[in-house]
Amino acid sequence: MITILLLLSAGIVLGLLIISYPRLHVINNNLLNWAIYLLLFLLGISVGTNQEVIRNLGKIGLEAIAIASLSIAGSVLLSYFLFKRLFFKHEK
Amino acid sequence: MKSSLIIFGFFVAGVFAGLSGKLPAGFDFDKLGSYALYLLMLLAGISIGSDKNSWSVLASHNYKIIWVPVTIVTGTMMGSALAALLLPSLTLRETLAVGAGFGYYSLSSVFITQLHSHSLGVVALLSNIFREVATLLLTPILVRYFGNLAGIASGGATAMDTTLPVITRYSGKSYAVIAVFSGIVLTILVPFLVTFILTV
Repeated sequence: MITILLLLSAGIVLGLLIISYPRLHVINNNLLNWAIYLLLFLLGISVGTNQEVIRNLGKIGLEAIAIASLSIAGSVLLSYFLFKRLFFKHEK
Repeated sequence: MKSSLIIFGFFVAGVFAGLSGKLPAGFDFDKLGSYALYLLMLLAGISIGSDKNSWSVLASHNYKIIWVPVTIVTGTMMGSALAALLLPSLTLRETLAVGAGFGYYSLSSVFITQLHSHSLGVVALLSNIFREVATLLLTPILVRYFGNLAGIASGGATAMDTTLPVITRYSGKSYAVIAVFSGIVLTILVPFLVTFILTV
Protein backbone atom coordinates (compact mmCIF):
# COMPACT_ATOMS: atom_id res chain seq x y z
CA MET A 1 0.00 0.00 0.00
CA ILE A 2 3.09 2.17 0.09
CA THR A 3 2.57 2.58 -3.68
CA ILE A 4 -0.67 4.47 -3.08
CA LEU A 5 0.86 6.90 -0.60
CA LEU A 6 3.88 7.44 -2.84
CA LEU A 7 1.61 8.20 -5.80
CA LEU A 8 -0.41 10.62 -3.66
CA SER A 9 2.74 12.41 -2.48
CA ALA A 10 4.15 12.50 -6.02
CA GLY A 11 0.84 13.99 -7.14
CA ILE A 12 1.04 16.74 -4.51
CA VAL A 13 4.54 17.67 -5.69
CA LEU A 14 3.40 17.61 -9.35
CA GLY A 15 0.44 19.75 -8.36
CA LEU A 16 2.75 22.33 -6.78
CA LEU A 17 4.74 22.42 -10.03
CA ILE A 18 1.66 23.22 -12.11
CA ILE A 19 0.17 25.60 -9.54
CA SER A 20 0.23 28.58 -11.93
CA TYR A 21 -1.28 26.75 -14.95
CA PRO A 22 -5.05 26.91 -14.33
CA ARG A 23 -5.86 25.14 -17.63
CA LEU A 24 -4.07 22.04 -16.37
CA HIS A 25 -6.11 22.19 -13.14
CA VAL A 26 -9.32 21.97 -15.15
CA ILE A 27 -8.03 18.98 -17.12
CA ASN A 28 -6.84 17.31 -13.93
CA ASN A 29 -10.18 17.80 -12.17
CA ASN A 30 -12.07 16.34 -15.14
CA LEU A 31 -9.81 13.29 -15.19
CA LEU A 32 -10.19 12.99 -11.42
CA ASN A 33 -13.99 13.00 -11.71
CA TRP A 34 -13.92 10.29 -14.39
CA ALA A 35 -11.53 8.14 -12.37
CA ILE A 36 -13.96 8.38 -9.43
CA TYR A 37 -16.94 7.54 -11.68
CA LEU A 38 -15.09 4.52 -13.11
CA LEU A 39 -14.12 3.24 -9.67
CA LEU A 40 -17.62 3.60 -8.27
CA PHE A 41 -19.07 1.92 -11.35
CA LEU A 42 -16.64 -0.95 -10.75
CA LEU A 43 -17.60 -1.03 -7.06
CA GLY A 44 -21.22 -1.25 -8.21
CA ILE A 45 -20.38 -4.18 -10.51
CA SER A 46 -18.65 -6.05 -7.72
CA VAL A 47 -21.65 -5.45 -5.47
CA GLY A 48 -24.11 -6.57 -8.18
CA THR A 49 -22.20 -9.79 -8.82
CA ASN A 50 -21.69 -10.51 -5.11
CA GLN A 51 -24.68 -12.44 -3.80
CA GLU A 52 -23.60 -12.05 -0.20
CA VAL A 53 -23.50 -8.23 -0.37
CA ILE A 54 -26.85 -8.10 -2.21
CA ARG A 55 -28.48 -10.34 0.40
CA ASN A 56 -27.12 -8.21 3.26
CA LEU A 57 -27.80 -4.78 1.75
CA GLY A 58 -30.27 -3.89 4.51
CA LYS A 59 -27.82 -4.82 7.24
CA ILE A 60 -25.01 -2.97 5.47
CA GLY A 61 -27.22 0.13 5.27
CA LEU A 62 -27.94 0.01 9.00
CA GLU A 63 -24.25 -0.41 9.81
CA ALA A 64 -23.46 2.59 7.60
CA ILE A 65 -26.06 4.77 9.35
CA ALA A 66 -24.85 3.67 12.80
CA ILE A 67 -21.20 4.49 12.08
CA ALA A 68 -22.09 7.84 10.49
CA SER A 69 -24.44 8.90 13.30
CA LEU A 70 -21.98 8.01 16.07
CA SER A 71 -19.10 9.69 14.18
CA ILE A 72 -21.15 12.87 13.85
CA ALA A 73 -22.23 12.70 17.52
CA GLY A 74 -18.64 12.19 18.73
CA SER A 75 -17.15 15.02 16.70
CA VAL A 76 -20.00 17.45 17.39
CA LEU A 77 -19.81 16.83 21.15
CA LEU A 78 -16.04 17.35 21.26
CA SER A 79 -16.33 20.42 19.04
CA TYR A 80 -18.76 21.88 21.59
CA PHE A 81 -16.11 21.69 24.31
CA LEU A 82 -13.50 23.16 21.97
CA PHE A 83 -15.89 25.95 21.01
CA LYS A 84 -16.49 26.86 24.66
CA ARG A 85 -12.79 26.73 25.55
CA LEU A 86 -11.20 28.32 22.53
CA PHE A 87 -13.77 30.69 21.19
CA PHE A 88 -15.63 31.96 24.24
CA LYS A 89 -12.71 32.48 26.61
CA HIS A 90 -11.05 35.41 24.93
CA GLU A 91 -14.31 37.04 23.97
CA LYS A 92 -15.17 37.66 27.61
CA MET B 1 -25.21 17.49 -3.72
CA LYS B 2 -25.41 17.25 -7.51
CA SER B 3 -22.02 15.57 -7.70
CA SER B 4 -22.97 13.07 -5.01
CA LEU B 5 -26.04 12.14 -7.07
CA ILE B 6 -23.90 11.59 -10.18
CA ILE B 7 -21.43 9.48 -8.23
CA PHE B 8 -24.19 7.47 -6.60
CA GLY B 9 -25.75 7.07 -10.07
CA PHE B 10 -22.56 5.47 -11.40
CA PHE B 11 -22.51 3.13 -8.40
CA VAL B 12 -26.16 2.12 -8.96
CA ALA B 13 -25.54 1.64 -12.70
CA GLY B 14 -22.68 -0.69 -11.77
CA VAL B 15 -24.92 -2.67 -9.42
CA PHE B 16 -27.47 -3.21 -12.20
CA ALA B 17 -24.74 -4.09 -14.69
CA GLY B 18 -23.50 -6.68 -12.21
CA LEU B 19 -26.99 -8.03 -11.50
CA SER B 20 -27.78 -8.36 -15.23
CA GLY B 21 -25.15 -11.08 -15.53
CA LYS B 22 -24.29 -9.86 -19.04
CA LEU B 23 -20.74 -8.72 -18.32
CA PRO B 24 -17.81 -10.26 -20.22
CA ALA B 25 -16.82 -13.29 -18.16
CA GLY B 26 -13.05 -13.32 -18.63
CA PHE B 27 -12.48 -9.64 -17.82
CA ASP B 28 -10.58 -8.89 -14.61
CA PHE B 29 -12.51 -5.97 -13.09
CA ASP B 30 -10.49 -6.07 -9.87
CA LYS B 31 -7.25 -5.52 -11.75
CA LEU B 32 -8.75 -2.61 -13.66
CA GLY B 33 -9.90 -1.29 -10.29
CA SER B 34 -6.38 -1.31 -8.81
CA TYR B 35 -4.92 0.53 -11.81
CA ALA B 36 -7.76 3.04 -11.73
CA LEU B 37 -7.06 3.58 -8.03
CA TYR B 38 -3.37 4.27 -8.73
CA LEU B 39 -4.42 6.83 -11.33
CA LEU B 40 -6.94 8.31 -8.91
CA MET B 41 -4.30 8.76 -6.19
CA LEU B 42 -1.94 10.59 -8.55
CA LEU B 43 -4.75 12.84 -9.82
CA ALA B 44 -6.07 13.50 -6.29
CA GLY B 45 -2.52 14.48 -5.24
CA ILE B 46 -2.18 16.87 -8.18
CA SER B 47 -5.52 18.44 -7.33
CA ILE B 48 -4.49 18.96 -3.68
CA GLY B 49 -1.04 20.30 -4.61
CA SER B 50 -2.21 22.68 -7.31
CA ASP B 51 -4.91 24.30 -5.18
CA LYS B 52 -3.48 27.73 -4.41
CA ASN B 53 -6.37 28.54 -2.14
CA SER B 54 -5.67 25.53 0.10
CA TRP B 55 -2.06 26.45 0.63
CA SER B 56 -2.82 30.07 1.47
CA VAL B 57 -5.56 29.09 3.92
CA LEU B 58 -3.23 26.52 5.49
CA ALA B 59 -0.41 29.03 5.82
CA SER B 60 -2.18 32.17 6.89
CA HIS B 61 -3.92 31.30 10.08
CA ASN B 62 -3.60 31.34 13.82
CA TYR B 63 -2.10 28.04 14.99
CA LYS B 64 -5.06 27.47 17.35
CA ILE B 65 -7.24 26.62 14.35
CA ILE B 66 -5.43 23.26 14.08
CA TRP B 67 -7.40 22.15 17.14
CA VAL B 68 -10.57 22.05 15.03
CA PRO B 69 -9.56 19.13 12.74
CA VAL B 70 -7.72 17.43 15.64
CA THR B 71 -10.95 17.51 17.64
CA ILE B 72 -12.98 16.21 14.70
CA VAL B 73 -10.59 13.29 14.14
CA THR B 74 -10.68 12.40 17.84
CA GLY B 75 -14.48 12.67 18.11
CA THR B 76 -15.03 10.68 14.91
CA MET B 77 -12.71 7.91 16.04
CA MET B 78 -14.46 7.76 19.44
CA GLY B 79 -17.86 7.52 17.75
CA SER B 80 -16.67 4.86 15.29
CA ALA B 81 -15.13 2.87 18.14
CA LEU B 82 -18.47 2.96 19.94
CA ALA B 83 -20.10 1.71 16.73
CA ALA B 84 -17.83 -1.35 16.81
CA LEU B 85 -19.24 -2.21 20.25
CA LEU B 86 -22.81 -1.95 18.98
CA LEU B 87 -22.25 -3.79 15.69
CA PRO B 88 -21.06 -7.34 16.40
CA SER B 89 -20.54 -8.07 12.70
CA LEU B 90 -17.81 -5.42 12.33
CA THR B 91 -14.41 -5.23 14.01
CA LEU B 92 -12.95 -2.10 15.59
CA ARG B 93 -10.50 -1.78 12.70
CA GLU B 94 -13.36 -1.88 10.19
CA THR B 95 -15.57 0.76 11.85
CA LEU B 96 -12.57 3.05 12.39
CA ALA B 97 -11.65 2.77 8.69
CA VAL B 98 -15.21 3.67 7.64
CA GLY B 99 -15.29 6.59 10.09
CA ALA B 100 -11.92 7.83 8.80
CA GLY B 101 -13.64 8.78 5.52
CA PHE B 102 -14.93 11.94 7.31
CA GLY B 103 -17.68 12.22 4.68
CA TYR B 104 -15.27 11.93 1.73
CA TYR B 105 -17.23 8.98 0.36
CA SER B 106 -15.77 8.71 -3.15
CA LEU B 107 -12.16 8.31 -2.12
CA SER B 108 -12.71 6.39 1.11
CA SER B 109 -15.05 3.81 -0.45
CA VAL B 110 -12.79 2.91 -3.38
CA PHE B 111 -9.84 2.87 -1.01
CA ILE B 112 -11.47 0.53 1.48
CA THR B 113 -12.71 -1.69 -1.39
CA GLN B 114 -9.16 -2.15 -2.65
CA LEU B 115 -7.46 -2.45 0.74
CA HIS B 116 -10.06 -4.53 2.55
CA SER B 117 -13.26 -5.87 0.94
CA HIS B 118 -16.15 -4.98 -1.32
CA SER B 119 -18.73 -5.20 1.44
CA LEU B 120 -16.83 -2.78 3.70
CA GLY B 121 -16.38 -0.50 0.67
CA VAL B 122 -20.16 -0.34 0.34
CA VAL B 123 -20.53 0.40 4.07
CA ALA B 124 -18.01 3.25 3.64
CA LEU B 125 -19.82 4.63 0.59
CA LEU B 126 -23.24 4.68 2.26
CA SER B 127 -21.94 5.82 5.66
CA ASN B 128 -19.99 8.77 4.28
CA ILE B 129 -22.79 9.85 1.92
CA PHE B 130 -25.05 9.73 4.97
CA ARG B 131 -22.62 11.93 6.90
CA GLU B 132 -22.76 14.56 4.15
CA VAL B 133 -26.54 14.47 3.77
CA ALA B 134 -27.09 14.53 7.56
CA THR B 135 -24.80 17.58 7.82
CA LEU B 136 -26.78 19.40 5.13
CA LEU B 137 -30.03 18.67 6.95
CA LEU B 138 -28.98 18.98 10.61
CA THR B 139 -26.49 21.87 10.66
CA PRO B 140 -29.12 24.47 11.67
CA ILE B 141 -30.11 22.40 14.73
CA LEU B 142 -26.56 21.29 15.60
CA VAL B 143 -25.23 24.86 15.53
CA ARG B 144 -28.05 26.02 17.75
CA TYR B 145 -27.38 23.49 20.49
CA PHE B 146 -23.66 22.74 20.15
CA GLY B 147 -22.08 26.00 19.06
CA ASN B 148 -20.70 27.42 15.85
CA LEU B 149 -18.20 24.62 15.26
CA ALA B 150 -20.89 21.92 15.18
CA GLY B 151 -21.58 22.06 11.43
CA ILE B 152 -17.86 22.04 10.66
CA ALA B 153 -17.43 19.01 12.94
CA SER B 154 -20.36 17.16 11.45
CA GLY B 155 -19.32 17.94 7.87
CA GLY B 156 -15.75 16.66 8.33
CA ALA B 157 -13.91 16.67 5.00
CA THR B 158 -16.98 18.02 3.18
CA ALA B 159 -16.85 21.30 5.16
CA MET B 160 -14.49 22.69 2.49
CA ASP B 161 -16.94 22.28 -0.42
CA THR B 162 -20.36 20.61 -0.41
CA THR B 163 -21.46 21.54 3.11
CA LEU B 164 -19.67 24.91 3.21
CA PRO B 165 -22.73 26.97 2.14
CA VAL B 166 -24.96 25.63 4.92
CA ILE B 167 -22.15 26.00 7.50
CA THR B 168 -21.51 29.62 6.47
CA ARG B 169 -25.20 30.38 6.59
CA TYR B 170 -25.77 29.11 10.13
CA SER B 171 -22.37 29.68 11.83
CA GLY B 172 -21.57 32.98 10.13
CA LYS B 173 -19.10 34.10 7.47
CA SER B 174 -16.20 34.29 9.92
CA TYR B 175 -16.40 30.51 10.28
CA ALA B 176 -16.01 29.86 6.55
CA VAL B 177 -12.20 30.02 6.75
CA ILE B 178 -12.16 27.60 9.68
CA ALA B 179 -14.50 25.26 7.75
CA VAL B 180 -12.28 25.32 4.64
CA PHE B 181 -9.12 24.83 6.71
CA SER B 182 -10.56 21.91 8.66
CA GLY B 183 -12.01 20.35 5.49
CA ILE B 184 -8.67 20.56 3.68
CA VAL B 185 -6.74 18.98 6.56
CA LEU B 186 -9.26 16.13 6.85
CA THR B 187 -9.37 15.59 3.06
CA ILE B 188 -5.59 15.23 2.92
CA LEU B 189 -5.71 12.96 5.96
CA VAL B 190 -8.31 10.50 4.57
CA PRO B 191 -6.02 8.35 2.34
CA PHE B 192 -3.22 8.31 4.91
CA LEU B 193 -5.44 7.49 7.88
CA VAL B 194 -7.51 4.80 6.09
CA THR B 195 -4.33 3.07 4.88
CA PHE B 196 -2.81 3.32 8.34
CA ILE B 197 -5.88 1.86 10.08
CA LEU B 198 -6.28 -1.05 7.64
CA THR B 199 -2.66 -2.08 7.31
CA VAL B 200 -1.09 -1.53 10.74
